[in-house]
Amino acid sequence: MSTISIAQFHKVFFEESLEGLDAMEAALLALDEGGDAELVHSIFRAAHSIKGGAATFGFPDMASFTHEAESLLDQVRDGRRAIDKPIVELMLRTVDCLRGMFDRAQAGQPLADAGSESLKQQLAAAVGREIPAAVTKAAAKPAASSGWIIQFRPHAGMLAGGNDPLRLLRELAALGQLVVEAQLDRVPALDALDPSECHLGWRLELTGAVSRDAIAAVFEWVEDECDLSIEPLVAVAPPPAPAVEAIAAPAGAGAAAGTARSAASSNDAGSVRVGIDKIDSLIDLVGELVITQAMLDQFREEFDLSRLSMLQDGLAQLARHTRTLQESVMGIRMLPIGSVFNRFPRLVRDLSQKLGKQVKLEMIGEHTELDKTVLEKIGDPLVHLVRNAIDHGLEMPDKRRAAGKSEVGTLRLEAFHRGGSIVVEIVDDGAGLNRDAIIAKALQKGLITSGEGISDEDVGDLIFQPGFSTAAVTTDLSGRGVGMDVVRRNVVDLGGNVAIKSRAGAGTTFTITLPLTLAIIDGLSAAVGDECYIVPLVSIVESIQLPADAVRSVTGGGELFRFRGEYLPIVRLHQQFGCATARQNIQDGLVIVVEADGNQVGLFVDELIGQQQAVVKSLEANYRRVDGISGATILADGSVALIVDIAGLIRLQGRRKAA
Amino acid sequence: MSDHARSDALQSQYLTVNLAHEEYGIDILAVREIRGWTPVTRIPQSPHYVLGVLNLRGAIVPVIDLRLRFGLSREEYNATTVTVIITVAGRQFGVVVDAVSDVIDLASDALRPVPDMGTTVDTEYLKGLTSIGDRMVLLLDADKLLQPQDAQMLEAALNAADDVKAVA
Repeated sequence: MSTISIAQFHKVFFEESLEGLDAMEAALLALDEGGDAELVHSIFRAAHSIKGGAATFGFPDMASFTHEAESLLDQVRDGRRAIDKPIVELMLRTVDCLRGMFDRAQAGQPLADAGSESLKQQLAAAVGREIPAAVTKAAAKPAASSGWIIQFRPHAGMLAGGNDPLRLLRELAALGQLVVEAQLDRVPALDALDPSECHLGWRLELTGAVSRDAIAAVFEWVEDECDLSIEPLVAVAPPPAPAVEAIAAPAGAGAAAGTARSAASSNDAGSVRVGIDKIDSLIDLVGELVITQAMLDQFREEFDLSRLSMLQDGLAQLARHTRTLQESVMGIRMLPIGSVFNRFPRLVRDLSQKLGKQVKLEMIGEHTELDKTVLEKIGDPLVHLVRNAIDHGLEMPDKRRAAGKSEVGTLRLEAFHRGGSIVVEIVDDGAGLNRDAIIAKALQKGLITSGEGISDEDVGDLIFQPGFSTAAVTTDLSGRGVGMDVVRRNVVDLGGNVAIKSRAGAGTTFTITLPLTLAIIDGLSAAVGDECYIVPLVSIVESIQLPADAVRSVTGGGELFRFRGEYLPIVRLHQQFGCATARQNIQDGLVIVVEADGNQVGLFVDELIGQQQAVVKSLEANYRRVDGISGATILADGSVALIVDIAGLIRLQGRRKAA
Repeated sequence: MSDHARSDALQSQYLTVNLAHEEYGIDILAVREIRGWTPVTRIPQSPHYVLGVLNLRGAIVPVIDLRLRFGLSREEYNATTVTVIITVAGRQFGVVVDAVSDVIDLASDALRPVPDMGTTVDTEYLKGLTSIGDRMVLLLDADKLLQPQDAQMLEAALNAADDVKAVA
């Protein structure tokens, strides 16, 4: 390609900028709780690089918008403006608005909309000046002052960087009338003086119609290597307070941007950033693999039995390297759950303010790594649970005080490993599940017939039923009909499950258990006729051989058998999947008791072949979804085996019976 | 492939395959590879002409029998039976035919519309016909071969919707 299209860099720019926005948001939230100047700097840097990128890559609307935000941040950075709640609020909305702009940029839509224009006006007003609508070019020129006092004190090492203070002074002199006053207080005694270091400082008075940016531009290259302050000669009047106050009111723009974002991100092909250490270890492993292969290659030329042990060693090595390689490659897909947790400080802050509750958010185990696919899909269920916990779980401050608890409710998000799974817990110290309300609601919905003798566990289970919501008032936070059933279904689709534990008055704990990865599962291969199916190990309870008389037929063609005091239906896999030449008599085959969604069934197969790890391949990529099948895998001989979707199979069985 | 044909800008190449004594052409740009018949893994709840899936270097690829697809009787698979792997719209699928025979060059004006009669194949899967010497070649529309699957996908989606209703 002889021409380089700038569009090819857009994706990288978007990704980096969205990361920058995340960083801005996190820093703003930290500032809200009282942070230091470094946070302001990091916010400023993020805004600055977005502005620069937007201008470079042809998004002038975004650049001019960000410029306003940057100007405001600049004032804060220079200490000309104290950081306060309205400013943080305004900047947070700026972040939301920018996210909206990025979504529109990715969708190829115009960037500016009414929301962004009005926010831009507000930012400009906060900076202390009005800009005429639509004339952004003129506005981009900052206000000038009649003169400036510049404190310029280079760090000792500045000269080593090739920067000459004299040149800077000359440049300043070219801007206007310059009065220079050297500060000699740091010059050491002659015997201690290192001539390669800079010991001088200057106080400069520059008069003339010079903009602050013009002065800052002079110092652009030495910014990090000196202490610099630029103060106006005449004190600038503080910006009108009402302008900032007015900002807090309209919140609609942010919400609209949020919905646009979810729409745009759904068609994103996605990419992963991988640490260089992970890549290096992969390269090492591949090197090992090549060596092993060369070693094994020797046996092709000459082999006699005396070298059998060498061959065995080589094969063992090959197996070891392959396994490590597999783990490392999977590791590339693993990302810390912190990237999902990051959104919660903001969410909790906004929600608690809206509801007038006081919430302290604790996050533990942000570094726990999860498969990227799982990570992407776990976000929404977690948001839902966090919203629920704040909306329904935690009480208002006065209620908490009355109950003898601290006014500030605690919400804890914790992620950790347990066995081969990742566990995410959402713990609140609120009122706990309202048992009576749930039972009343379930009776009303006809989910249960009587409230007698229902265990706490069952009550917890009820809230996962479709269409269940006990919120007396439907707020826009929760209770929109999509409820806990969707949360459960999403988690189950990921191969995990949700459990709930609640104590009245002491709080509720949701425990989400997720598989480490979706790409590889442990399975048992089962023969049905001359076909082979993989049954995921996690859903297997037990496999048993049944005598013929253990099976009861019921009207309608169903079959039941007794297992640990309960009657379970039998699903004959060969009937369900239409396999010919399978064994028909129950006593000739095996029944695998499997469980999904809390339902147990007995899966009738011919025999078990063995346990194996299965790399899950999609059927949908080239074909379509098949009921009762969750995917396919490739066996050792290169042929394809299908993986049974237990939950789907149970649903299928239910439907067939109903039909 | 003669040089004179190659100089023709508006020409395209077709792989011709045999099916029940007729010759069909598949756009060679859609053909990924040709491989001998190997047994496939059957997929439950699939139309009868979908034989199953095979492992194509790690990708799971469905295979359809073109004879069954066109409502012809199924032949015993033998040494000349081949699977032609076709890519359409990013999706791969295999087509089992009796044999492959030739690669032909076609100028676009040599393509004639299919008369709406006479062939054993539903004309909806054909985009035209042409003659090479005294042989007639029917040109398959690879896109359309996949299309009925979309109808099935819709059906599957409806089933899934029923499913949700049943749960609710």
